[in-house]
Amino acid sequence: MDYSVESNLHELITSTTHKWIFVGGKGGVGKTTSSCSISIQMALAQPTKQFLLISTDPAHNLSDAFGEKFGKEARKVTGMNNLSCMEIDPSAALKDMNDMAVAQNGGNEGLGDLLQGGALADITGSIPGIDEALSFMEVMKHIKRQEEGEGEKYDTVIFDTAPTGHTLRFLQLPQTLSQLLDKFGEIAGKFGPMLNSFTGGSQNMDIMGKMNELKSNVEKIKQQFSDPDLTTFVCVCISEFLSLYETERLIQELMSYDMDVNSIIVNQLLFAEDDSEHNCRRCQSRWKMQKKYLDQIDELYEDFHVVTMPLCAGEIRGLNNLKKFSKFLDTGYDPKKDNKVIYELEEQK
Amino acid sequence: MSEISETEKRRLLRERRQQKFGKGGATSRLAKITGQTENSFLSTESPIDSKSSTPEPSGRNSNEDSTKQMDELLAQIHQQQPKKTDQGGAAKNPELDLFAQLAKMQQGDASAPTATSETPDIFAQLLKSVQMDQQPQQGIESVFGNQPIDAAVLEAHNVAVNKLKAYTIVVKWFFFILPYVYYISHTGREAFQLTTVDFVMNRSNFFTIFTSFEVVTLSVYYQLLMSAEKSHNINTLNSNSKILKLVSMVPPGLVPIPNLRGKISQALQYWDVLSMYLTDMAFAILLTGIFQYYHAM
Repeated sequence: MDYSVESNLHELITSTTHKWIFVGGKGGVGKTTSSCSISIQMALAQPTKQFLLISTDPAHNLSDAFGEKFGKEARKVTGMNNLSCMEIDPSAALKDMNDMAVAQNGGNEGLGDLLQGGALADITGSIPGIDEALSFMEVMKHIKRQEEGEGEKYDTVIFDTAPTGHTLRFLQLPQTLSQLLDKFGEIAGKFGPMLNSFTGGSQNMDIMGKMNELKSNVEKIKQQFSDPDLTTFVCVCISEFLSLYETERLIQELMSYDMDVNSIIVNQLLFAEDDSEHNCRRCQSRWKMQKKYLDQIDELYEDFHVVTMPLCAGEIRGLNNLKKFSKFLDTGYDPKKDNKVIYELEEQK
Repeated sequence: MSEISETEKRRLLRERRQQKFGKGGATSRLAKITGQTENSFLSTESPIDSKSSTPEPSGRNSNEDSTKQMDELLAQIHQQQPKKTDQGGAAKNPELDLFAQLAKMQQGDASAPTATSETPDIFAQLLKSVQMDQQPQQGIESVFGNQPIDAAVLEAHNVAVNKLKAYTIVVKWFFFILPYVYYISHTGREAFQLTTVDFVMNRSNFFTIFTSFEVVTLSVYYQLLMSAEKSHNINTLNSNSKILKLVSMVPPGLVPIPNLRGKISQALQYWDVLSMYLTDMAFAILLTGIFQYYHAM
């Protein structure tokens, strides 16, 4: 049987089963450009479906990539009918929580004064992993909305993730939460009725009910994240030693979480030997180095879709530039035929 | 290619990838990457191989550590069941002493009871328990252990206790209170004058005599109750009181009162005594009313 693997993401772009696509890698390798490109190509290839691109990186770049402002509410990209973007802002989410707490504790002057100063947001905002937790909450909200048929329904959600460590923490959350909820379930089972009586009156909390609902959602997410037909992770890297090493470690971590990884995008390649017109000594030397690691990538990842993408002369910003650049994810980049695109990108003001 | 073969191809490729990363393959891949540079300090330990080789409680996973700590905390909460101490039961009966003090006070004995260690009074005990910290049961031997109670034994014990209570009430009411109240209400009638017990028949001494009688009978009752509890190895109050069961659910430290359960147990015991006294008093008042009514007719 033919086990050759295409050097493009056509299979992913035209996939009708995937619900969650993560795009991640080391910092500065082109994750945002790649995630925007994948989203655009999927939206163009499947115009009847709705796609959502979420940035979970606290240092958001989606607004810069598309040249328009996105916020915590999903908003359609100008010029695309079926692609929306959202930037999860942990500080804004925490501020909302703080404001809600102030409103609920209106009678309690001491606590209200404390909260009005943004104390809750300050305290919780400094907790390590809070960004990942808030992103995860967004995921759970989407699942809940889809099940209840509320709001905009998205067929596929693409995540522009934060650099590697943050993403791995995010992906660990379902397992961590599941264990925590098991423990809380034991405790609440013993003390739940007593706690409910203490918090009675208008705030009659059904602790067990809420925890069961949360646990059920977390289990669903765990199952979906480990289903290769529903979830996949696209690794983005550059052809350098540290990036290659970190990509390998990332792939191994993801496999240990039972997450499917079958695609790698290698960015910022010079293809200097195919560009006789613009071929300085530095580019030649650098391309030689890139080739060495590219060969190793081909050897290590022969069963992966390895997509090689060029380093362009200009920034890949704005919808038009992203469209031009992203089509090579679908068809593959041929440095001999397609090298004109490197110099054709429109300058963004 | 057909849809089925595409799916099959994806599945096979996935298996091939997993095979290459499994069984030490992941570590060798990292070694291959790091080996191409000299003096590389990067780790070649694979997350896949380290997770599969180390046993579950590896101590490296902070989540495992935290769940372990949670397990220990739960076990501690279970074990911190307040010992079933009957603070008035293990030592001399404080209720008897208290009523003795009350009786003395009624008889005009103004001498304060000697608050020695042999006769601890309720207030001294309360003060002791307030001064104690979270471990008041140290040094006080629990008469009753913490073994789970057999339901049949508990039921038999409850039947015995209820029988004891019923007999006590019957004896008190019909062999003392009723005739005493009858004699009191008929003072002056020749047929019922008893010259040798003028003190007893004197109406102004009713409360003193009644209280003294109550002290004696309640003491006897509690002695009998204690012997029954000892024989069955059951503390009646701890086993049957819903209030104590509720209080035992309160985790230690939640309410800023040390030995909360012990205090509430003691309060319930005193209330039990007081309620019996008040019930008998009410019966006496009722009888007085009935006898007065019939005499008036």
